[in-house]
Amino acid sequence: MKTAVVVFSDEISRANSLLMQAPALSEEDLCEVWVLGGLCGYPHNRALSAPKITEILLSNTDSLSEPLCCAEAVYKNYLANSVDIIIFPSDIRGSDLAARVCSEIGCEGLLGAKELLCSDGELYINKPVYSNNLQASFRVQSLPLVLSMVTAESVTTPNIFDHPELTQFGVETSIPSWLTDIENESFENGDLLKCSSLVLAAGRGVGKAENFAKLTELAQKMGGVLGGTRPTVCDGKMPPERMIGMSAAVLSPDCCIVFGASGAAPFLAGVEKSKLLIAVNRDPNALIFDNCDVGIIEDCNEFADALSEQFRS
Amino acid sequence: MNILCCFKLVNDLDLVMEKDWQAATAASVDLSYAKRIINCYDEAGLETALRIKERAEILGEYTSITAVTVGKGNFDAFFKSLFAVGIGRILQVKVTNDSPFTPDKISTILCEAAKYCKYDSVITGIQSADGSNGLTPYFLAKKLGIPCISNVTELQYANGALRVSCETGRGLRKSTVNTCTLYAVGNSHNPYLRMATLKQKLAVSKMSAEIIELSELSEIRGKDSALCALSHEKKARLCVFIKGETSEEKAKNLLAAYPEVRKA
Repeated sequence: MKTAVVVFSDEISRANSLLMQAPALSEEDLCEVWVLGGLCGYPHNRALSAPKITEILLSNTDSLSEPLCCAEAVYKNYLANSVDIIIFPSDIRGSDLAARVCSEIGCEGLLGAKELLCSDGELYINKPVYSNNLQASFRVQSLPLVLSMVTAESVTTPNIFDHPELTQFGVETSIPSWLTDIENESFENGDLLKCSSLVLAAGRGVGKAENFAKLTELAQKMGGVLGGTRPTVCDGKMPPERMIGMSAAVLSPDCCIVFGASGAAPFLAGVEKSKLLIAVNRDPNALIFDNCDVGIIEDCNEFADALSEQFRS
Repeated sequence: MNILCCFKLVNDLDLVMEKDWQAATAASVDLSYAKRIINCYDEAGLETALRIKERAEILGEYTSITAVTVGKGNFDAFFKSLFAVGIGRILQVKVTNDSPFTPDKISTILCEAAKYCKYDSVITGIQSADGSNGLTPYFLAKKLGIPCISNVTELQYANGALRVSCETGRGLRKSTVNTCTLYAVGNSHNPYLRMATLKQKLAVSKMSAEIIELSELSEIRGKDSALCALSHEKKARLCVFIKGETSEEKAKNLLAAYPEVRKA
């Protein structure tokens, strides 16, 4: 069985943790890496745990930011170099591409998979469903299979290949003519949440915009970053790049303090890997208290002011 | 302009009790007592369509919105509210089995339903709360033979075309779309459907949804992975409450008991 892990040139380091999750049915099973946009000088011969690396090179570099072009390029590479399983990272970009490639091939697919297992010659996929309240196990009925997978924290050292086979696959791409006046705006702090060891998370209970500004100041004082639940983003109180939850940033900071969030399952999926999870809510029956390490029953804004005073002193 | 909106009615999962999650099996999850709501992303899609209609009609372009849903329940109360806020036509496809884990099958059914409608734009939510597969919009676009733009945050009518903003994972991308396209709405800037007034509801009291029977499609098997088991993971955290008379005291006690908060 052949498996390919697909990553973009700006996230090649994620390939190894995805490769570690690929199932091995037998010793002959092969894993390869497809890099959209090419290696761009990445030290592949000392870094990737794959015997074969294919650089998918798009004729027009602007096409790399166009999902339709990227999907077309991966699909054409698949037609030329058929594999049984294609795995993408489970972020917005990876899942979008996985879904496009899956619909192009017309095969089975699952997004946001947590585990890919092999048992008695059958493949099983575990993934959260019902807004992360339940874990589902799916049996794969037929190959090929396209997945986007949550990257696991690697616990074992990957087997690095000193001299992987390196190939290039060029694809003629152009932005569709029906798509005009394209503007790209980069998020200035896209990865800030994921990198921070301390995260403050604001829920709708925080209330007014001025309270969010206070929490932002508190986060800065404490050396952390402020994120928010989906409702706070939808209300325009927090920017989209700071959204925490199942369909946004899934975090694993050393400490996360949640202010004024009830603790709905999709949000909890984004903070449940925190080493220390603290919740502040005035409702003693809030669901968040069933899922945290430390609870503070208090008005979240009053507590934020008090905590701010502590950091001033 | 003719807009086709696909929406799903799901149980409000926030109301489901822990014991029912624990008792869930692949054969059944008891959600019967949890009231139905419009799936949150689909709700944003419907509101987006209504805003396009309003803007287009101000600029002199007649716009119709047809909404289609798949499900076997009686959703008349929802349909009345949708008619009242400006949805012109509603189709309900009744199937005997509407499992949330069958995106290929559901997209086939929606594609069949689309044959009953005129459309030059299709709007869906990016995924449903229950199935969370995220594949249905892409499969539907493929079957309709139109492109799919996903993770849409905003869709605005301008100069006879639609200007779309979408999240790319690396930022926000805006573009003008000049062809029939499926828009899968994600974290929208307009997430909530407007409320209908009593006067609006009375005005549509005689309107009802058209029922489409596609029983021959109920038993089709798409290329969907088979659900084998559902399990509920026991929460591993045990909450310790910080005591104190005032906020100040609780803040002090927190930092004293958990010095790692300072060091994080």
